[in-house]
Amino acid sequence: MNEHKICFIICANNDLFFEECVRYIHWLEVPEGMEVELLEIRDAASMAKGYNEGMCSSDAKYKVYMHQDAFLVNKYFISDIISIFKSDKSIGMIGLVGIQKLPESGVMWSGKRVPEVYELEEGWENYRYDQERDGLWEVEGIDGVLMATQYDIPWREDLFDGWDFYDLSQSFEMRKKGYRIVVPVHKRFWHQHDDKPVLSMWNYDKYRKRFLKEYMEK
Amino acid sequence: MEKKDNGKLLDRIEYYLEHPEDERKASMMFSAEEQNILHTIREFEKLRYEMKWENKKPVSKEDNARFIDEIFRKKEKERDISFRLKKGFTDWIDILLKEGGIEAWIDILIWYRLLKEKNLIVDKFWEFPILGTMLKAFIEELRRFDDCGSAISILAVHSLEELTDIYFHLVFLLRRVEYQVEPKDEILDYLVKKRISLTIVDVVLEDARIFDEEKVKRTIIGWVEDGDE
Repeated sequence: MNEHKICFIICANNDLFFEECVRYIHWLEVPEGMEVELLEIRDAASMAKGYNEGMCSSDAKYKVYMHQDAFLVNKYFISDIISIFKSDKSIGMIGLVGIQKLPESGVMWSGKRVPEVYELEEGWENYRYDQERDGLWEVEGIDGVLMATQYDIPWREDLFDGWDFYDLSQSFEMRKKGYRIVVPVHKRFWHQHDDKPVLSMWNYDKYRKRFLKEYMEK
Repeated sequence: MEKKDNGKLLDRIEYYLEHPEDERKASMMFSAEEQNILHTIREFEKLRYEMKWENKKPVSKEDNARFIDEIFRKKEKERDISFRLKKGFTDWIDILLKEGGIEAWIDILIWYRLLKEKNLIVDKFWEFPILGTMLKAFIEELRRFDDCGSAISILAVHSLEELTDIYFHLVFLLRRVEYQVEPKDEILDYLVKKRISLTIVDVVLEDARIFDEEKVKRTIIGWVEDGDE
């Protein structure tokens, strides 16, 4: 594993979004000595399958699995997450949205999520995350919008062959291996996500039941 | 497409809703595409009526599990008809946009409001909240047209795909201004190329997830005033 390399892995099906997402990745400040790799996974059969493909083709120690419609607006994202990983080897995964206690229903958005509300302060443009000062939230699961890892754990493509619950499944797999999952306490947005307030999730229940059977009934 | 022109759309819909059994008159009043939308709405409402269940607040764990299962069971049942209604509506929007003109946009507005009022599909597919924003922009441009005769730039859009594409381009460009990600004057070039008014920009800025609207507005106005076009 290359400890001086970070790889962004994105399953893409829309050029407009993907190009915009990449524009923000290129805009990020890269710490000296770090190499940035970008893997675009086209026509993935499922999120888990696409992410496994990306995971296996990169030797980067740090991997960031993210949605094509998420735009990183924390210019110091790379150094921030690497310093969190380096601060504690037991941290396996970092997210930007997480849930501290997953409800028994498995429905993430019906529980208390972090961050709840951003504290938008004066002078936010100059705000920089500081782990000592700001801290971390310990969570059970994170949202798939962005999942950064420092250890490779296979994604459960055998169970989650669609676009839902791959994120919570991966969170539970990480914790099964004994790793912690955290969300940095941030007071300004680290990312912008252009999802519209729609609740489609046509296959959500199918995967919710699989998730409950695999992780919650044991 | 055979567009019936006997009376304002609102009056025609009102008549249909009051006399759903009058198929003969409906076929005279509405185009085949409009009839398809109305039939699907009726079917959808019938399905919802049949699915009604006692909406009691869950008090126990078992109740809560049943409650959540029930929500998903209903959702599954609404799946096919939701997609059918979406297709009927988006096909009709494309026909109207291709036709262009203020009347066509007003028709889209009426159909959109009807579906929103009935809580059907507009919160299920991402295209519709965007359509909602662009309809707001249309109303604003129409108001300005009435007040001072300024052009209604949104009339130049001729498909739903083009409309959503413009929306996302605009949001992306505005966000780049906010975060100073290659701000330059790409946005001005895009506005000129697509002939998009600042009225549309204002509405999109208000509706999209852009945190520091004031900064973006200030920057763009500064560019325009400096003649940096």
